[in-house]
Amino acid sequence: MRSVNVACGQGFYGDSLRPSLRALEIGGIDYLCFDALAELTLAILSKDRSRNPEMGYTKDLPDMMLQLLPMAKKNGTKIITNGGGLNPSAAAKAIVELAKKNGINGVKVAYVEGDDVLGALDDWQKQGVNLDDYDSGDKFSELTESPIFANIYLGADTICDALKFNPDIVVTGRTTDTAAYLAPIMAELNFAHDDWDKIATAIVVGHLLECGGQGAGGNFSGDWWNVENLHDIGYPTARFFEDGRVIISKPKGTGGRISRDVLKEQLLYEIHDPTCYIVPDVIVDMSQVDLIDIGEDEVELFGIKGRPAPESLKLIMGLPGGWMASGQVSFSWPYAMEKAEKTVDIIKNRMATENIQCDDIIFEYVGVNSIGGPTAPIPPEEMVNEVMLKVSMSCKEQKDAVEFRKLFPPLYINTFPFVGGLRGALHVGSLLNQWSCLVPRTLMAGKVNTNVVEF
Amino acid sequence: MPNASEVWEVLPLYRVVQARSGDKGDAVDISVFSPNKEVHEALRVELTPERVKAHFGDYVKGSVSRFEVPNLFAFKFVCKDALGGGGAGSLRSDNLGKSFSANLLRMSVNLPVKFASQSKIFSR
Repeated sequence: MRSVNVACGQGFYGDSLRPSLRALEIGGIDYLCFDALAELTLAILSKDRSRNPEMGYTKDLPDMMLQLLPMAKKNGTKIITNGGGLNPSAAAKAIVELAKKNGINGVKVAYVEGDDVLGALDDWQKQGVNLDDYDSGDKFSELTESPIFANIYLGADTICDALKFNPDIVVTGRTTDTAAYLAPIMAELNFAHDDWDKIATAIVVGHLLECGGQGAGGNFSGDWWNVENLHDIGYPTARFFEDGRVIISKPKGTGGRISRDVLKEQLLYEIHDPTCYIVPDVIVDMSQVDLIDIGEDEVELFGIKGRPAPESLKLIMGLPGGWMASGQVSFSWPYAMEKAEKTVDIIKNRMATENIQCDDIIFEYVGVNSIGGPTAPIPPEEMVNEVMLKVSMSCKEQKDAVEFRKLFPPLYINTFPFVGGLRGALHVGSLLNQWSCLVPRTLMAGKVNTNVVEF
Repeated sequence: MPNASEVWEVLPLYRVVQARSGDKGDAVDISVFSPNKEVHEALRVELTPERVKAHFGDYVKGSVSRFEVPNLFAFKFVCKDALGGGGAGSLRSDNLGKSFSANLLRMSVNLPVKFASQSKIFSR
């Protein structure tokens, strides 16, 4: 029976390249799929693009592709990535240029453009398209600042179009994390466009694989102490058969673990309502899902249902959100907690004296409750070996963030005995507000196109 | 429900269930996996959205909804207004909510000991 074997190559921008190299070394992979775009990544890339219009893609992409291409071409493995970010055409050119410079010829990169709709927002607003934020209900018409970026989450159809060029690599912008997996499965196995259960199953395969190590024993909350060789973790793979049967595994001999217990954590990760996981390609119902261990590092997936694709697409925008600053100082036993708490009073006093304005400020006691918050009991003082007081604030003006940072170095000699942790302790950065809305799919008709760069 | 004659005991969740959490905007999404149907049914009563919200105190300002995936013995809790602004804007150390699951695992609940002890993580 016909089948296709897809593998995860990258779970986020900045992820390790080693699992991809290992997957190619071990072989048997038809498609290696990369997800480089978290919700925040487009904001980082928009800063890069504002400095240089030739940038705006994930910077590590050309070099990663250079390292993978020789083995990928030899094995016949194709690569799909959304690392094109805000500039897929520049990314495609950069990949081909770098490969050429390093003597790799016959490289074909197809890229998908059109998800970037920043330039269309004014027209859409005039046409009466509702661009209000669906979480907060805030009105788009009342925004005082322009978005930094605005992108539509595109589905697998655009990647399927790109695959028709028979490229070595497909580079896209804001396609969904799962589209990179659905597209090759659909294209290879010729799904009917309304075979919603199979389409939904392939989306779930993408969802299980797209976080890389988190689907192969990383962050596992079960018997994590028994998961072996995490230094050589293999990212998950899935063999999808023509009849809809799916087996999740990982490259033989790599570390980590594939099991029902591992995969169930990833399956439900960040999906909210399990009966209604909406992507551009289909609406997925995972509520009757099952996972069965069928062998060592082999799990079969059952029970995924699909409903027709939604009429609307998600639009994500980034808006300037002011500034933030943080600083920290660490106190040693004895009385570490008491000293940290007294320092909070000093900081509040100094902010008032210097008239430093902030919208929000939080005081965290790292080592005691910075992660646990109100759920973490504070241990008795004699048990606290050390505490790092971490103070973070947000404000409208950059100057307040900068002035806030200046309060910290003097704390190391003007306050209480036995301090440390100054190195790398200060941070000032800009914040981003996320804005999401749903727009009619018909708005995107004719806006997405595919091109090829080759050498 | 498990047999009423079973011995029940108040146990911390971390000894019995698996959990994973993540963010979506300013919401945190936590999944809790029981080792078997008996523990799952006990948690249906113990882990109500109201109790989960109360457990998090100030950390969860919005509503808590509960969903279920029965074949995986799983409950999912979606906590709104829970990250102090969400990934991009949150000032918290755990700005992505990945440790919310650990915070939930601190809860102690009444469980049937025989079935709770079948969890792979129980005896550590």
